[in-house]
This record gives sequence, structure tokens and C-alpha cells, in this order.
Amino acid sequence: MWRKIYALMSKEFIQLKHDRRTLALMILLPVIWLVAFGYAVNFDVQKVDLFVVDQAQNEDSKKVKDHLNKDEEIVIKQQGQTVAEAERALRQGEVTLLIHFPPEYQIMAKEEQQKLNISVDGSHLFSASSAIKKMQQILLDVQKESLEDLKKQVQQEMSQIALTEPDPSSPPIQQNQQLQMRIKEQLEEKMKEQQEKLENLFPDSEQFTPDIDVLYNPDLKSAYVMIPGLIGLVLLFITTLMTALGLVREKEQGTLEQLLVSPLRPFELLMGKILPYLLIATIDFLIVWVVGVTLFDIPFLGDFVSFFAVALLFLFVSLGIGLFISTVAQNQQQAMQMTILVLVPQFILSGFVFPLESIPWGVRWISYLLPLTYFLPVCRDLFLKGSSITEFGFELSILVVFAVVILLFAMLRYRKSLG
Amino acid sequence: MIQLKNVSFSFDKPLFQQLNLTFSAKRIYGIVGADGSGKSTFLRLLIGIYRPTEGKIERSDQLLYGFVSENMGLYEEMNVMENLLFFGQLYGLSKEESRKRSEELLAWVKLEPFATRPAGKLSGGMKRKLAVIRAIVHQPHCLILDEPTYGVDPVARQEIWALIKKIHQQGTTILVSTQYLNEIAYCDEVLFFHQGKLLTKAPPAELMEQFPYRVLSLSEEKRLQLKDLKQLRQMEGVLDAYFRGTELILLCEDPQAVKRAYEKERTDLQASDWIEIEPSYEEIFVSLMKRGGGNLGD
Repeated sequence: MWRKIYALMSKEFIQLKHDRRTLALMILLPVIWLVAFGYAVNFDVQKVDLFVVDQAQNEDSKKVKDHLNKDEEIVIKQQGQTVAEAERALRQGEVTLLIHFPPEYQIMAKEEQQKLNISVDGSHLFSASSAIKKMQQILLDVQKESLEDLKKQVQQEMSQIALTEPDPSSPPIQQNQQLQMRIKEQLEEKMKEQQEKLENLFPDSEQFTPDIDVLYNPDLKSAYVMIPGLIGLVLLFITTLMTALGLVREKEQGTLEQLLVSPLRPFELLMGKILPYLLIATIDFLIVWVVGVTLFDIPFLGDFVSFFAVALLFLFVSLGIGLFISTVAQNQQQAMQMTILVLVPQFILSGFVFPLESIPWGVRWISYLLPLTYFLPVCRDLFLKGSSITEFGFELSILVVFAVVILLFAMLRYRKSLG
Repeated sequence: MIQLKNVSFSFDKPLFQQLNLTFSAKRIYGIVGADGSGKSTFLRLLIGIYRPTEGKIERSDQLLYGFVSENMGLYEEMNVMENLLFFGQLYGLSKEESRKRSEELLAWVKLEPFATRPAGKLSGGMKRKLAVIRAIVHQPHCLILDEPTYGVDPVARQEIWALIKKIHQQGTTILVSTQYLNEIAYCDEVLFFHQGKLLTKAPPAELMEQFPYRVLSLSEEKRLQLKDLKQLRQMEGVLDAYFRGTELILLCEDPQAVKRAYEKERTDLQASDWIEIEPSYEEIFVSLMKRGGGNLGD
């Protein structure tokens, strides 16, 4: 049995050796996707272009601008005097963010006309949300700083009143001196009390800002989330497509008949056709894993052996889908179209790009019918949290059900289509 | 060797009904019929790609088949040797045995210089030869060829038949389908199929002997004047009238009666314009088809 399977497997590799384009696709595709998802598909906006209209030209506006200048991600690209010209630049996409300091601008604004006006180009979704976050952070820093300054100023002024010494040049009158000393002591005591009250009134800005501790992905890098998910996508695409194409190509070329009249049994034919792609998918899996860990510095905190075992389980699901497509499709073009039909919803709805929670229920139910939806959380948590697969009993059970049902169904159809 | 017992087969519509046939070892069987007559389906039924809807097909124990489909089923991107090696190994030969046998076969059909050429880049005739030797790499008892000479030039056709004969001489049973009626002469026995029906199964010489009609042909200059085939067909004693290439053929039971009747009805032709010729396999096929209730059209 194994000699025949080996012969068929060797034939698949010989065909691949001659079909360099397909071979390149299978090896390079994960690399291309890695580069695309690791670098290009990046929701972390590195640079926000800004237009500043400063009609105030005062200390406060200067302070804000200084902060903006210090920030590496916000670039003051243009400055002007009218809001209209800034809005034009925003509309033309030259800048994403517009800041307008009105003539009466104050950091600690008490009235509407003293407030800073900010406009953001919402058509650049990720830049806009990044700009809003960034501006909120900068303005918070400015306000904190102003608060600190105000506090220092009040403290200084009060201590000056308190520490005012009696004039030594005035004629020393013993009784008066003693009185003055007592008044001074009492005054100082009162001042101390007031300072303590003031301390409570002006809390330490460092203390009223909560500490946010970002776990598992401290820098909130997109690549950290994308690349572990990419493993699932690569496995799904390569195995589904290649398994589907492999059998359909035999059908189309008329070589399937030659295999059917040979002593090859359906099971041997199946093994000979899917094992090579299982092997290639495993190589792709390792490529994505190694590149992710080394080039993108994504921490892999989980146990590799159990991760590999889950990936293998997921591979069987993909193989089943590919096999099923091969029994339905009449030619390679149809097989390709069907693979894309299966793949696109998994790309969009599985949580690979958009969180499941953001998908409305009218569509979200589809997500729960997709195998990738269950593989992704295991993948990400094994990578970033170092979780154990025992924590994913539900997801793994669903994947086992998927693998068994799809493979059984596909094999039944496969036997029927050969018969 | 292969026996069909009450075999019926349907494929969208009923194709074969209650076939009872026996194929003996070491003979060449020709499966003949026009396009769509059911030749390929019949061969696939014999080899087991299709299963009969009724009846059964009995085969000798451990009967090994070799099969060449009409489109040859070669791995076009793989080279000649790789194609042969793969099938050798698939049929259980070791790599060494497979290589030795492949080299032998390549020498046999003079394809050795092309061993490393991709199968897809061979000429039509070479591809056919490769497909044939690929099908006998495991030395089968029975070789089934589906239209091996279709679309091949006359020289290559001769070469392929020479190869088939050579394989047959080594004791292999051959079942070969063709739509070229002159190829019947190479066969020991012929099965005529028309529109899914088996019209007859007999040796070619027997078919010729049992042919019940006479064949008349009209001389070329007179033929041009005659356009109404329908009128000819409706004449008494005429089985059919049709053009074979540029030749007008008339099948009849009594040529003299036809000539006389024709002279009465048409003044533009004389009895001497008709020449009696020897029947060819085409006439046999047409007469069988007519008797079987078939229709070739005009």
C-alpha cells in the first residue's frame, strides 16, 4: 500500500518541481502575506499630519504647540491664519488633523470661545482615531502641566506672605517684638493648614491618572495579533486550494481515469493526493512561525508541541474542505472560485481582522460556522498569553467535530464521485 | 476472459440493454461506431470505471488491464521517462524494474531520444505512442484503447497500428475503439455500435460474406446532375443512397431492377451510368444501422 502511496506522492512533487509557479506560490505566499500583514496591514498609524491655525498667539497656545512639536507622531505640516484654508487642506487630504486656537484661547478655558477647536478627517479611519487618541493624550499632558504650574504658583505666593519677616530697621520695641513673633507663628501655622487644604484641593496630577497596564501586547502592535492569526489563514488557504486543485486537475487532464483503472484503492489515492499538501502546509506553518518569532519579535509563550497538534487538527479541517470542493468542482477554475468563496468569509468574519464583538448578530452567526473562528483564539493565546491548550476545550471540541464531519462527508462524496 | 451477462447501462438515458458478450484472450476486438454511439462508455464499462445498472461483468482472476483514454491521460508537465516510471511504480514495480521496463519500451517505439522531453511537448503521434507504452508498462493481459488513432496523421496511424499488432503478438488481448471503418481489417472481431445499441459482433470476413446487398456507384459526370437523394432512397429495392466523399453510393438488393426502374423515371440517366462496386466496411455499417432502425441523416 505505502509503495503506491509513495509513488503518487513522488509524482505530486515531480509535478510541483515542473510547475514552478505553483511551487513558488506555496512557499512565497506565506512570506508575502507575512510582509503584508506584518508591515503593510498595520492599524498603528505612525504619523499624523496637522494644520495649526493660531489666532491666539499667547502663552497657552505656545505651550500646546511646544508639546505638539515634541511629539514624534504628530507633524505640524502647515500653519495658517484662517480656518477656511485649514479646512481646504483637510478636505484635500493634505492633513488629517486641524487645530484652531481661537483669539481668546486658554488652556483652563472657562468659556466656549476660549476652547480649542479640533477637526479630524474621518474618511481616514485609522489615522483619525489615532489622531484623536494622540491629541487627547497631549492635551491631558498640557492640562496636567498647567495644573502643576498653577499649584506651584499659589504655593509660592502663599509662602511669600507667610515668610515675610518684620522690618529690622523699625525701632525695636520689646513688647511689639514679642507680639509680632506670636502673630507670625500663628500666621505660619494657619498658612501651613491652608497649604495642606490646598494640597488636597490640587491633587497630584500623577496620582489622579490611573496606571494602565497593557498585558500580552504592551505596545499594542497590530503584528502581534495579525501574525499568529495568519498561521490559520495560510494553513486554510494552502491546504484547501491545493487539495481541491490536485484532484480536479487529475479530472480535467483525464489522468484520474488512469489512476482509477490502476490497482490504487480510493483510500490510497486520497492519501497520495493529500499527504504532499499536508507536508507543504506544515512547512508553511513553520515558515510563518519562525519568521513571526524571529523577524517580527512576536513572543511565543505557549508550548510548541501542543500548538503544532492544534494546527494539525485545523489542517485536517482544511483538507476536508479542499477534498469536498474537489468532488463538486468540474474544473480548476471552479475549484479556485469555490476556494475563494470559502476563504473570504473566514478572512472577514472569523475575527482575523475585525473583532467578533463588532460584527452585528445578523451576520455574526456565520462566524460561528467557520472553523477559523475557533482556531484563531487558540493561536493568539498560545502565542501571546502562553495559554495551555487545556484552556480551549470548547474550541478544540468544535474543531474536532468540524474535522470529523467535513472529512467524513467529503470522503463519502469523494467515493461517490469516483464510483 | 471478460464476460458480460445481461448487462444494461443507463447514463442519463438508457444506453446498453441486456448485453451478453464474451471476449476471449489474445484477440483484437474492434469497437466501431460514429461519435456518440457509446464506444467509450462501453470500454469504460468493461474496465470498471462505470458499473452496469443491471447484470454483471465477470472477469478472469487477476486480470491486468492497460487503458489508454481518448485524451491519453498523460501528465503533460512531466517528462516521458517520469510518466513511465510513475505508472510502473503505481502498478507495483520497484524503481529499478520500472526504469528497466521503461527503457525497453522507449527503445521499442524509438522514443529514447525524447526521454527527458515533457510529454506535453511531444507531437500528436508520439504522445499516442507514449500513452500506449505507458499502458503496457506493467505487462497487462488486456489492453483497452479508446480511439488511439483519432486526429493523428495517416503515417502515425500506421505506426500506432503496427505497435498495437506488436503488443498483440506478445499475447495481449486488445480492445480498440475507432471511427475509421477501414481499421476494422486489423481486428479479429468487430462490434458495431450505433446510438447506444450494439448492432452486431462478428469477424470482419464474416460480416463481408453475410452482407446482403449490392453496391452501385454513379460515375462522376452524372453525379453532378443528381441532387435529389430523397427520390433515390424512395425507389423500390433501394436500401439507402448517400455520398461517401465525392462518390454517390446506392445500396440495393437487385442492381438490374434498380437500373431499370431508374431509367423509367429519369430520362437524364441511363442504366450504364451506374457501376457496381465491391462493398466496403462503410456499406456494411450503413446496412446494419438501417436494419437496426438507425438513421445517419442526409
